[in-house]
Amino acid sequence: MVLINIDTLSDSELRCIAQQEGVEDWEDLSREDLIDSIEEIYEDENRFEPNHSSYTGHRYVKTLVNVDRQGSFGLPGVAELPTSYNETSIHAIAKDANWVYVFWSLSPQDQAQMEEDGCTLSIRTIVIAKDDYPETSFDIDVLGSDMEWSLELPWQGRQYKAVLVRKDHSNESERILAESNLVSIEESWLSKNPEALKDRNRFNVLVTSLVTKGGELINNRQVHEILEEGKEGLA
Amino acid sequence: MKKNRINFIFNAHLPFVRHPEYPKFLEEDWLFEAINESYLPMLRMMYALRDEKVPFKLTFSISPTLCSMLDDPLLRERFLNYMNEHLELGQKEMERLSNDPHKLRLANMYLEGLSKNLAFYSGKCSNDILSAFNQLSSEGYLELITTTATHAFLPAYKDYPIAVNAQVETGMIEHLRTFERMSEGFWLPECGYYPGLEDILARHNIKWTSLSSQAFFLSQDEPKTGCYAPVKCPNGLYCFARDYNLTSLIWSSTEGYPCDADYREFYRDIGYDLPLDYIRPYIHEPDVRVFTGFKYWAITGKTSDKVVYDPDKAAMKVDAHSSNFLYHIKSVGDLVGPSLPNDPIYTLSFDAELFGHWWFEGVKFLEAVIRKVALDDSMVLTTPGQCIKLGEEVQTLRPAYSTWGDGGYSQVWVDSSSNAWAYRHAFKSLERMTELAERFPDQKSLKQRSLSQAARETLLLMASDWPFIIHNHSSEEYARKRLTGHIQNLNLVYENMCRNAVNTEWLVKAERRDNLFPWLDYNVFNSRHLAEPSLIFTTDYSK
Repeated sequence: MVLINIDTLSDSELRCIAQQEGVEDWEDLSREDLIDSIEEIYEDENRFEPNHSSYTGHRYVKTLVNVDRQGSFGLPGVAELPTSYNETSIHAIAKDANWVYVFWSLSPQDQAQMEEDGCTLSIRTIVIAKDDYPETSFDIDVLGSDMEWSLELPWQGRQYKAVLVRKDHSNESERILAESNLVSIEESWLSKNPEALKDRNRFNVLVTSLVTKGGELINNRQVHEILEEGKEGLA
Repeated sequence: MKKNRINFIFNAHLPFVRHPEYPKFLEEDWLFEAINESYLPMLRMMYALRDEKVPFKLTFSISPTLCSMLDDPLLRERFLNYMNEHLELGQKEMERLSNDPHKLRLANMYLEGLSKNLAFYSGKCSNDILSAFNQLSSEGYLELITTTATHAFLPAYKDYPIAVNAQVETGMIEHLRTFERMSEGFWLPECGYYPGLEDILARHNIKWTSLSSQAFFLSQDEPKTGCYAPVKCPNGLYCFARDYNLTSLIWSSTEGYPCDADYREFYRDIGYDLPLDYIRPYIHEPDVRVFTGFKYWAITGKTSDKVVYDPDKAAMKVDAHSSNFLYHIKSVGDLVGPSLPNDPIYTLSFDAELFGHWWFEGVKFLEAVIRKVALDDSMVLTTPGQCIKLGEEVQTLRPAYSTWGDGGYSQVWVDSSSNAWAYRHAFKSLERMTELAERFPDQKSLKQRSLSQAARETLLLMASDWPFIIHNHSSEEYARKRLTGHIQNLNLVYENMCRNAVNTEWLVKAERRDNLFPWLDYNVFNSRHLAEPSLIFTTDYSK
């Protein structure tokens, strides 16, 4: 994938994109107005990032156009995707060291029962016990219509799971409906030993390959935090 | 003085795009452009170096989907049509620009490039690019490796080891069938690694893999040699970490050499700039403008007022940048070499299509680097496989969960604002495919075909390309339809098999379109298979 620097696009390219994106009066707009309109459309989507620091992970896929063909490539007999699969389940996928994406579904039976009983639904993040640290948890109340959430993981080096909890407020009871797999990001040795970077030779060996010629550190929060910790010692 | 060892690793991959139901299909151009602008120029460059006896060693991961497409008769025929269309456009451009000597020279340059590529493809390659790569591998110039079957982003599927294994095993088998030898290395798509993945890789006798730059730095073990030496996982798998510092010299959109004002501008293309009446035969219906490859402008700067591209100026920059690149490597070697037990190794991995397609001068740059290294005693080109065979002692370390994506983890491929919705369906598809393989093992005839096609659809829906494209909004609609379509296909087989039925109309059409891995055995999705030896050791896969 190549990143687009919008300023370098020709007027005809801009018109082509504006038309495709449904900009009104795309034929009559000035270059500046075309850029403004397109940037406005893409603002939230971060499509044009002239200051984006790295092509890392961006693979070749050509075309400025996003052709919206009529119909799908569906073969005979296939059905539309369901909203969910008639089961009660919860899954968690680590997005990074601090966030996990969680999605769940309720079976029609569980859904109906909850409504009948006037129960509410919570997503519980359970932090599994480790060494001297006890198990702990925190809940987020969600709506019946919610099906996904991003959960923050407060500590590295711990294991987490997301649990779907049905809460009955009439009798202050609760029932676990489903549990996710475990998610964990190990705590790094350097985050526990940032002083190791005080040694100049070791610093060079471990850090040189993570910084660009212009001095920009690789985009990774944990690396930044370790180096922030070790900075004082190095100075 | 220590010798600088440089491992270039090129990841050649494109998603499986093949639409026989259409006479011409826009997204198939991804393949044709990559062949014409990257793979053939790279092959021509490497064969020229070989013929001149210039020593070099490079590593290429050629993905199983790319192998399938390069080996496909329909796509081969369509590639020839693409080339002939573009040759015709080149001739037309020569006439149109007859009074504009600067652009005429460029039109002629593109026309010559097309002609040479076509001659090489039809002559040296006999229309078979994979054989041309294999020949260089046989002669010791290339280490060829493979990756997952459909370039699946494995960290997202870590809770589905059966599916992860199916991706790895299928990739290994396709490589064996294509190149008639085992792949010793394994490219992890997006450098996506999670602790424990090495156990699945080891099942297939994979010796090494390549990880992202921070994988060692963030290890729970004390890192000792940075990215300048491989490490061994506790199970013996060697891992090489990509050097962000050196690859950024090429890869960075703000500091990289390809940003130089004298290099060719990628985005200004006559497919967008010229009147529709002129360009219509060379774009897509209905008047969908696309890149044609005929680009006459230099990057110039952040302005629409571009200057005409000057190949001589660009050639001077290639010379300067290749020298600068090697200077940086030596500087790093001088800095870190004395602290290392062995000669430093630099793992420089890139998408192959960056060279030639996006960075027009990229192939010339590589050639210049190779030629200069050949004359310099302080550095040498190596491959990871070659480095391992030296038997140098390396640190045992557990790499950290990591990818080469923005942020270093999975945010690009698990993005709740764009693509994460797909995993609800993808996970269910994996569960259903495993259930099918376990409930209906060793079927024959139509059911066997139907289940094997379901396995193909399952592998295809796992491709990292679809969430990536959706995240980047480039060909989003197509990616959504592809992802959805593969899940729908799997659902259809599941529902039919539960009714003890086969939809033959669907089957015939699905087999015709998604025809990759015709040898695929759906039993690879049976959980029992994880306890058995890999099929690669127990089945004869010779063509």
